[in-house]
Amino acid sequence: MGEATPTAQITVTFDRPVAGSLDRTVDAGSIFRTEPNIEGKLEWRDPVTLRLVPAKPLKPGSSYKVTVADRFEAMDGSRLAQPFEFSFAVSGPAAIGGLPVSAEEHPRFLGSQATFDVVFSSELEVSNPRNLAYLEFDKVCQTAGVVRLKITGQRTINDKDPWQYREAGGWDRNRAADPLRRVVTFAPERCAAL
Amino acid sequence: MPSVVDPEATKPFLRWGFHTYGPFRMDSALCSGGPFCPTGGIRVSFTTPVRGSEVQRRIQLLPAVPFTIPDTTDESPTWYLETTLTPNTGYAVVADTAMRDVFGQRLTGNPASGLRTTGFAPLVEYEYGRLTVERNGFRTLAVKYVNVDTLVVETATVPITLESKVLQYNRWDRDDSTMARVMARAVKRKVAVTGARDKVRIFGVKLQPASAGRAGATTLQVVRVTSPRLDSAYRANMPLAIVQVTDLWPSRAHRAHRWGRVGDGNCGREAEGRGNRRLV
Repeated sequence: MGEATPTAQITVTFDRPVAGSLDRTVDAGSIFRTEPNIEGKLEWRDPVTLRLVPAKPLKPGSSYKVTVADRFEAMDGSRLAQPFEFSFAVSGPAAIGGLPVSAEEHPRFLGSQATFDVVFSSELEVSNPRNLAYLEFDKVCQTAGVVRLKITGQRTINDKDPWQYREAGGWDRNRAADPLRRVVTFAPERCAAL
Repeated sequence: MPSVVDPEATKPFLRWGFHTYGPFRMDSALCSGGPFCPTGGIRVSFTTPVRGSEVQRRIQLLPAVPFTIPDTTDESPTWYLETTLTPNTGYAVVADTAMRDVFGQRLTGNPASGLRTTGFAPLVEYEYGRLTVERNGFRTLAVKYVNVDTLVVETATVPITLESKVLQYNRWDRDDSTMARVMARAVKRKVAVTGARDKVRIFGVKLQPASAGRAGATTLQVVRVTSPRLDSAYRANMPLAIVQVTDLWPSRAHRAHRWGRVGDGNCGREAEGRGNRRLV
């Protein structure tokens, strides 16, 4: 099963022309189907490529099955031996930044009241958020072992956020997916004596 | 935390490190500025961040010396105390035990730390590049030095065939093969010099007069002065002085603005120089 981003477009490429001209085309809607259904614009991008541009981002963490029916002829009169099917999954929310801790930020003086903001690439919908993240303290700490983190909030990124949030994902990220990003705030379930 | 939150939970976990704060102590106080720190300032480190105003109010130096800090509103575990200390002197940095860090913790442990300033770094300095030195004056190249007891003077005469290339020499040129050829012929001599510690002294390197009257004689000499007390990187990069010992007098025609023709004794060749004694 392939993996796609939430902003992905779905394309099917044939090995020979199918829709060669306006008077000799194949109705895309009659041969292309997704399960579950994806709303969007389905079109022939060129004579060999069928493209579905989703009307809204695909749901992170979900799976889709695409079927191309065998009820049509290519321009040379050939047909598919059988319906063509493939599946893909939309990648779930990825942790792409955060404060005060992240892949780049390693603070030296965190206090017991600290909370942790993590920027995810898309909205976080987890059935059991309690098990998502935890703090693991070294043996030398007063609170050695694991302290679970609970989610206390989730919001979009705004202009007043620090640059680490606004630029989360890197300069070469797909900026079309920026509106999907979320800042999720985690707090320790119990006070960690530091 | 998973790198990607997927229903199957198959993605690897991310681990991001951090430290929590510990007790508030003075970690160190060091004279700042590398191996030689004659006049400060002082870099004071604490184990947790402290507000600048607290450092300004609660720290004192013994013997008493005033100091300032860059920003009293800032919070940092390390502070640079801007001050002027006396060379070769011991100092104590003492913190008031009422001092608190940004978390409200009181200072624990030893509230004082000692440091000692050093003397000045050994130094040898002189004019470099293209220079003219009066034949009828002291006929010396002035070399300023501090905390060295020996000067190594290298002097090389420039062959006529290389004069034009040497005059085009720039120490930032990639190709210094011409100078390497000239300095290969250098005469090296050691000169013992005296002087009190940390006091600047000047030594005049005596230059040989050029005898341009002699056919094929050279008028330029290249001088480099170093000292064994300088570190090797410093020694390797000591600049070269390209010196012409010559007579200087104001030209009648251009008396107001320029030194006129730079004669050369009996004057086999002539060159023009402007402004002060440096030929540019």
